[in-house]
Amino acid sequence: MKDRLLDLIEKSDGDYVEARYHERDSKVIDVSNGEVEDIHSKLLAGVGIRVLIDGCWGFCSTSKTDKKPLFKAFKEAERSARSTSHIKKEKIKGIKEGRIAQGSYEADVNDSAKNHSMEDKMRMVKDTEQAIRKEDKIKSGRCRWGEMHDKKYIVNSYGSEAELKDEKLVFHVFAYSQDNGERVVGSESKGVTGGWKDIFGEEGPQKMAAKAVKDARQLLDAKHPKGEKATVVLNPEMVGMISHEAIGHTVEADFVLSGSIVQGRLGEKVASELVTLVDDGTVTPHAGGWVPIDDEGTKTDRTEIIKQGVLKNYLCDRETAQTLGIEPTGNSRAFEYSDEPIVRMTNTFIEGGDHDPEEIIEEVDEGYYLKGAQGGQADANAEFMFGVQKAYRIENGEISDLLRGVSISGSGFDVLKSVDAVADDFKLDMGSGYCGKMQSAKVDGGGPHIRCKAIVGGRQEGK
Amino acid sequence: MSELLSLGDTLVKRALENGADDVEIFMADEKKNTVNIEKNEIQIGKSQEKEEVGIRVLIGDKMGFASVNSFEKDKIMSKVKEAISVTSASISDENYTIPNPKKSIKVGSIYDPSIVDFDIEDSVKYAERFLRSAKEYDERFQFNTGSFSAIVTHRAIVNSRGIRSDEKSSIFHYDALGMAVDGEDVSSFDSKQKAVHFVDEIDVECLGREISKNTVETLGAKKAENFVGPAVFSPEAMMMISYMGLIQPLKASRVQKGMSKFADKLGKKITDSRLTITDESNLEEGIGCRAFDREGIPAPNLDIIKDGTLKNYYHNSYTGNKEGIESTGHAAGSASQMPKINPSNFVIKAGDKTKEELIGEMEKGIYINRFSGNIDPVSGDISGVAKGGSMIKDGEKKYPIKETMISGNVFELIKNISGISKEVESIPLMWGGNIHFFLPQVRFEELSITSD
Repeated sequence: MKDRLLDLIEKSDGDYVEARYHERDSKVIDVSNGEVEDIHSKLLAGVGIRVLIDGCWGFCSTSKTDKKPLFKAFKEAERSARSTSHIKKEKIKGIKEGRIAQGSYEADVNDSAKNHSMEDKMRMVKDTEQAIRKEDKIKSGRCRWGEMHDKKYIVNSYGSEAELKDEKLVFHVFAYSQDNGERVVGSESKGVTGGWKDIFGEEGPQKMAAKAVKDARQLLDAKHPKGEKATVVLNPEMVGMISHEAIGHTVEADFVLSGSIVQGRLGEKVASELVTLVDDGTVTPHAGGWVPIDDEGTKTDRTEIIKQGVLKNYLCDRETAQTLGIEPTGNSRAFEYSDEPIVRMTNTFIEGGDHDPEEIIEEVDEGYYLKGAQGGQADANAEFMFGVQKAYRIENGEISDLLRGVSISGSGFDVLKSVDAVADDFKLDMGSGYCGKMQSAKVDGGGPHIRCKAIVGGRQEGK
Repeated sequence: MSELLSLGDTLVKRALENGADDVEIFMADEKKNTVNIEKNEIQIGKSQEKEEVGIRVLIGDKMGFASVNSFEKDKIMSKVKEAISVTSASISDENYTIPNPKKSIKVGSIYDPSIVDFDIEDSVKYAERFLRSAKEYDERFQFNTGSFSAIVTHRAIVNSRGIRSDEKSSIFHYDALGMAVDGEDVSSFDSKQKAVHFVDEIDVECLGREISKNTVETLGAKKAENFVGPAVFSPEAMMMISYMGLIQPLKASRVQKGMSKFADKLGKKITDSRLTITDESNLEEGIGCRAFDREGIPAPNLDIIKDGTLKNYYHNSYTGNKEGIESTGHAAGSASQMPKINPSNFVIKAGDKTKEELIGEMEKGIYINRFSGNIDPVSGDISGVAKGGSMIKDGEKKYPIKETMISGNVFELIKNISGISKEVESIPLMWGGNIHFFLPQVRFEELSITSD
């Protein structure tokens, strides 16, 4: 396959050409209330070819990977590029080379999910879901297993010649309880780049189910908060969510060039000096967004987006790096062979500080401890609103009442400016997550516990 | 004979020989050329081919599913065998079924033969006209992202119960997301999309002008006031309400799981009498128009809510079996997914007021152009932000609003409708299947509006 792709590269007389073979073998088992919602095995394989001719991009994808159809697809990509050249006003003035990826890259996998039969996986999902429903006060349960085995060859005319083998696993459990028509959900999710032992090594499905059940029961008796701007302590998952959704998207170079809030602000202070925010595709072991090379054949690396409060870098691909006069960061990703690469995040997090996590809470007279995010939205101006899975009131330095129906909102950068404590703990805790931006991408995120100010919203009691 | 049908015949035969009691082969052959627009420029021309085969197998009371993106027989057969082996891992359920054929329905034409010659260069021309029309209407409009696509799809289904159908469709889809910028003043984002089946129905200029106008009109936005009062939802905002707040609880799968407020409400009044919702799979203007669903079942027009009374849920064969009734023909999803449930063309019947009357009758309220936020399909709770809306006072739009939070509950709001417009807009949705919305503007009373 690699030779067939290299053949295409040789035939090109354009400014740049890349060819990417991507094979994905995925399996899903999803059981809800004792019924199978989904059980499938899916094979997706094909080639995506992208060319840059006369400053214009063309792309073609095909599932036919023999020499002849591949050549036809390559010519079609060239034709697509040429067809836009007479109307494109500002032609692309070259693209940057960056760190050329060569050789083989393989994820660190302890006990591949392929070693386990579908029967074993179904038994695990079924038993976990059943255990949830047996519990008192639980109305329904759901359990979902997903696995993706990826194999890629990426070659291009800049000299990238790389092979990537990767396995990504996710596991979700949900326990639902209901009170006066209002449903509350307790949930636990895990996601890793790795194998069976990596996803269930520390904590197995039954323990995750027990946690979800406990949360669903406790939330049933929880009160709603009043809306106010307050001191909040965020757990690693919440920190990851804000880092990714509210900040990360604004520094993706395509959004920057479209006029996001950070355009032209490199070098400016945008956060508290306690904050160093990073995107790093090379995080090991087992980060959900582990991507050692991107789909343009650039080696990924650690990119300091914010260093001690100062905006240092944007995330970019080869084209936006050229436009912005910076180096490619290895953030050009395509979800499937039929997608063209676009600027995406990988593992996005805030670095640990030196505060004791317990003291971060003890020092708060009045505030909230927010654990886990669910749903929400963020804009190119960094304004965001997320639902909070579990929110506790903090009174006189101690965690007190559990609350439900809580949301957190504000401007991502205002929130980061208000950070006055960063704990010395650290966890990536979004490995089960996907990001949606025209196409999906497997990402991760997290950080330490941090303390800051944000708007805590909630429904008024009785409404 | 169609090559896909003939491939389906072979695969059904071989799946039965390999031990399946029943089998369904769903195939889709899609060719698509797309031109993406980004930052006021043509960004890339793309040409994509997709072959998909979904294999659903029933052995006893157990179901298995596998899919592959190739029409090569050997590759498919290895997945047929995998679907059969997956079945043994599955859970027994007597309601699983591979459906029997149903009487066909007549749908209009959804295939324009000229799409065969509509290549990437044609798409580029339309994309360029789309972009130009928006900028010519007002230079301040910034075309952030958008696209023009021409998609031709051949779907075919063959099952062991005698269903054997295929259908070709052509879709021209175009969409835009952008904002207006005037110095330091930046409007809210607005998004618009259209989809038609025929080349001569494409009107990119109209949509370009519309989004340009919408965004420019929301420049100079100010905060709204804090109050509880009426709000007029645009068709775009109604699409969010409909998709999350109405369609989800109307799916029989959710009703049967106790996750729908509409459970046990068939024949009962659940909304204001002004609201009538129908599903019209034969409406050829819609991209939801089709002769058969994901299980090969036709969907005759269906009353969902009639004059405020709940008439039907959306069913596929599985949920129908559970209640001893027939599928309504709403199995949905791509060939690579097990059939789920979704509407085809979702139609809210036009009302008796003009758009101007809806606004003109309000003392104090807001107009919501786009809704960005959460709607919980179980509780119906709405919380989010009105994007590109206006403050209305004394029957007039006074000024554009920003940072305006709205909250309420869908199931309460639909009982509290005070007007529906005569004008209806069509909005396509192409996420994981084709649904086309035909929606008027709707005025709801008693929304909580906050702008602190």
